[in-house]
This record gives sequence, structure tokens and C-alpha cells, in this order.
Amino acid sequence: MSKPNLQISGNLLGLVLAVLEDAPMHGYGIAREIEKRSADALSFGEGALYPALRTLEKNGHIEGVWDTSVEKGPARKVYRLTAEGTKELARVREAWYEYSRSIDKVMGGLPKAGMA
Amino acid sequence: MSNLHQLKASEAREAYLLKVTRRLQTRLSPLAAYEEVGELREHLDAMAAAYEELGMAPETAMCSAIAKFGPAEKIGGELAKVGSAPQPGIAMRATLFLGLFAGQTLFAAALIAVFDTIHTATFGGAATFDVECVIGAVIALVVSTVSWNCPRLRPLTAGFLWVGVHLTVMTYIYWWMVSVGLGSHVPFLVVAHSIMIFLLGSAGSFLAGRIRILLAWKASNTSPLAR
Repeated sequence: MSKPNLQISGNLLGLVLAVLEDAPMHGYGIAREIEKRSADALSFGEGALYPALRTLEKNGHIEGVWDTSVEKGPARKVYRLTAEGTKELARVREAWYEYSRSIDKVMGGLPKAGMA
Repeated sequence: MSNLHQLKASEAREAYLLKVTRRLQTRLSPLAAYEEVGELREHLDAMAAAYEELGMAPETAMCSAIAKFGPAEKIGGELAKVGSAPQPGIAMRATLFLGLFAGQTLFAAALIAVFDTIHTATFGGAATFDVECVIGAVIALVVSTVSWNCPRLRPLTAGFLWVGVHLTVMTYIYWWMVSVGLGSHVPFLVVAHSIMIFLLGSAGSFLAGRIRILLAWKASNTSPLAR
């Protein structure tokens, strides 16, 4: 069975917060982590990550620091969650579970055997 | 051969980043734009390196990275929108508008003064106030037509129209004042009307500024990807 190719527009901010909850990361690392956690099912133009990062920075949910300790290549901007961001993530998670439960109720749970 | 492929890959990347930069330059400071593009460059290089590890040629790897990254114009536009600080920009615009309307008041006064001088030099006496106003209004309307047709001056058109309309209104007020026997109070009318032009213009531009600030805040609080 081929993997579903799900669009994540509208949820990218929450996904970035969730990924940064575990460890500070740079843009490329965040994109790979989203890909890895979703087992390549979630697709998005990776350039869209940067406007999302700027929005989160502007709202005070994350902060970016230039890491100049990179031995090879130019300095990288590494992002980490702030205390405000942790609160926002909890709020986004709660909203997502609520939404997900509502969709589940309509969809009727897991696919029946033989349908996939 | 490998170097040639690397060069072509770099060219493709820089051409892509140039499109992003064009959008950024309009709204971000040169340093902020430079930092943004540097981050995107680093991301593209990392993506291309990963594709190369899968066996792709450098040029193909970079093209695949660019394709997966998304349209340059859209990303540049979104970054410019999110990255620019709306408040100082709007405040500056509101100040400019205030200055513009104050300038228009002076422009109206200057039109009357110039016409008065010409009239005195030609006919040996000052023109009546209504004639001054009508001539001033006509000049303002002609200037507004010229500015509308000149792209660089087009933003000033509303201002010139504003002057033209108010000089016309002032003419009617003058005629009314004369008809009810208040013709000797014309100097008072001129001062009062100049103040009115300035206050109305200022209030209008202030309100426009507030509306723009509210719209900018609303836009900045919305996810760029959800729009």
C-alpha cells in the first residue's frame, strides 16, 4: 500500500513546537524530524518552515540563536522552545486532540479489515 | 567534470535565492534579508547533500532540493510579511500623511497668495476672495490630473483633490457670508478654513493609520501558512 501524502498547512506551527520540545534544532533538522516522526507521510514545501519559524519567534514561542561553533561551513541558527512556547504547545495539543477525537467520531475509528 | 556540476548546482541555488531576496528587499533590512537568505542557503545545501548521498549528480540534487523547498516568490513574500515590523512602518506612514495634509494647507494658502500677487501686479488691486479660491481650486484640480497620470506623483493625487474640493467649498461659504452680510469676516473664514482643512486631514489620516495598524496586527497574528 502506498504511503498517504498528507498536507500539513495550518498545523506546521504546532508541529514545529512539538519537535522543538525535545531538543533545540536548526531549520533543516526540524524538517527531517517532522519527516522521521511521520514516517514520511507528512509532506510540505520545506521553505514554508521559515515563515513559520519567524511567526513563532515573533510571538515569543521560540528563540533562535546563531551557533558559531560549527566547524565546517557557516554559522547555523538554532531554535529552542521558550516558556511561552511550552504553554502554547500544551494549548495546541489540547486543541488538536479535541479536533482529532471529533473527526474519529465521524470517521468511525480504525479502518475495517480488508478495506486497506 | 564534478566541479562543473557543482558550479551549475551553485548557480541554480543562487538564482533561486535571488528570487527570494527580491521579495525580502522590499520589507526587510539588508542585514535581516542577508541572514534569512543565509539560512535558506544552508538548508538547501544540506538537502542537496542528502540527495547526493543517494547517488544523484550535484546539479540534479540541487534541483530536487529546490523543487522540494517550494516556490521562491511565495516563500520570499511570506518571509517579508512575517519579518517586517508593522508598527514603526505604519507610524511612519501616518506621520507622512499628517505632514502631507499640513503641506496641502500651505499649498492652498500658497495658491491664493501667488494668484493675489499676480492679480495685484496685473490689475493693481487684490482679487476678491471667491475669485482667488476658484482659481486655486482649478489649479489644484489640474495638478491632481497631472499627478494621477504621473506614476511617481500618483500617491499625491488625493491630496491635490482634497485642496481643490475645499477651495471650492470655501468659495460657496464666502458667497453665503457675503449674502448674509458677513463679508467683512472673510479673514476669519480663511483662518478657520485652513485650520479645518488641517484638522480634518489629520483626523482622516490618523484614522487611516489606526485601521492599517489593526489590519497589520491581524495579519501578523495569523499563520502565514493558514492564509
